[in-house]
Amino acid sequence: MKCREFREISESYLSDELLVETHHQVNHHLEHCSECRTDFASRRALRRRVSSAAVNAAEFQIDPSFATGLKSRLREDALGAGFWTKFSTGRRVLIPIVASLLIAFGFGSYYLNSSGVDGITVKDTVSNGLAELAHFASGNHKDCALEKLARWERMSETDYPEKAAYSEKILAPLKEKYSDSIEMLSVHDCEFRGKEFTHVVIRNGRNIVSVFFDKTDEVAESRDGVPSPITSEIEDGLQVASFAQDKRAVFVVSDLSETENLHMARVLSHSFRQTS
Amino acid sequence: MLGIKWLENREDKWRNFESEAMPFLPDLFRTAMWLARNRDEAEDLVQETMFQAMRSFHSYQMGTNCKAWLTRILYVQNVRRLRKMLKLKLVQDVDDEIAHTIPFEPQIPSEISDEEVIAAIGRLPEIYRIVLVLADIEELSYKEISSIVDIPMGTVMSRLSRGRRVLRIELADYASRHGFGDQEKAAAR
Repeated sequence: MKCREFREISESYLSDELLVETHHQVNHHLEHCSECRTDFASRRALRRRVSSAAVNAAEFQIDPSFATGLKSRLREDALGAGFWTKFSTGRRVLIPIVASLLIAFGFGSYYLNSSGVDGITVKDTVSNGLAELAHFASGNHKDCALEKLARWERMSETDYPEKAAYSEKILAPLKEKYSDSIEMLSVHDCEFRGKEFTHVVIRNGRNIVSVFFDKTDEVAESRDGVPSPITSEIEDGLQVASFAQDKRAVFVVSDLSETENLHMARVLSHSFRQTS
Repeated sequence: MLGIKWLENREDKWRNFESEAMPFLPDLFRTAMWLARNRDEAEDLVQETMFQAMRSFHSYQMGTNCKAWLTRILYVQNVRRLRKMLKLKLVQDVDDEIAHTIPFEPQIPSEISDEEVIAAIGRLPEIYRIVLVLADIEELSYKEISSIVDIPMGTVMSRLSRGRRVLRIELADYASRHGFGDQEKAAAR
């Protein structure tokens, strides 16, 4: 093999794409040609450098909470949503069967959950207790944000001394991500069945969204150095996305779609992490 | 019984998807970052890809390279995303133009930081960047890249070769502007 021939196929040699025989010929040429050997060593060094730089760079690492949340949503979609859709197409005769299966499934899940079997329940991914608190947040949203909507509009400017701080913390990232028309209706402290929250009420178009910061309990923020995942569930027909921040549970509750509600939680979680 | 069997099938499908596809989530995110250049959009892209992949998992042939299969879906989703955002620009095939403007292949000094290497990859023309990322970072074969980007294998080879050359020149230029590599050159003389 001559140097010119080597240069023509050197890129394929670098990518390990040559046939075995040609590969041997190249090896033989490199053993005897120091110029090509130096040139090739430089190319190979650059390739390794490119690979290691990109693979190790922090900006290219997936957020563990996003990965966990995505896996949980995929699993839910694979096992949960499709199940209901399949059977909700008007076959009345199947309804009792579906009901029985759901009851059995519910008891099964409860049993597996309480017995700690891996990979079975949502609780498995939210061992820090967020799931247990989610229904308080949804109840509070219903009781407080939705019921008292007219009142928020009247008292929106004067209800909480730290409103400006929450406006910066919550409204700014949401406005930046979605729209300037998002507005904050109220920030206040409230209690629902013994659980105290700082409750931020937001209007996004025609939707009312609540962001709750739990004031009662301290939750684990991470497990083995991995940030708390953002989890999503339906409580009282409302979407509840939960995550932990500064050892406090944060809930985003709305009647948006699951994807929209989760996305909003992700924007807030991301913003909080950057500013904390 | 039928219902239970059906549930078991779904559970099996999920387990297969989980074991075959989920391990490639970090790799997929890395490629999505190169395509979207923004973490939020990369996450959206990965999410859309994984949901699409799960729905199409019946078309995946077990035993083939699942990473290449997922990357193909990611690439198609990205094209759709760009079209939707009306940001899809017609990219001129600048292969020949660049091929004639590359006079030599300089050595790359070791002082150049990883950040500058990444920035230089980011500055590559898009048609070279994606091929270089898939070949040199994600270590996919020419054949797999050809299928992902939907171009002939010969074009993969030429774009990769030119992408690598442009990158070397970019980094050498950066090094000379910052005075790196002078000692190495002196030692080489």
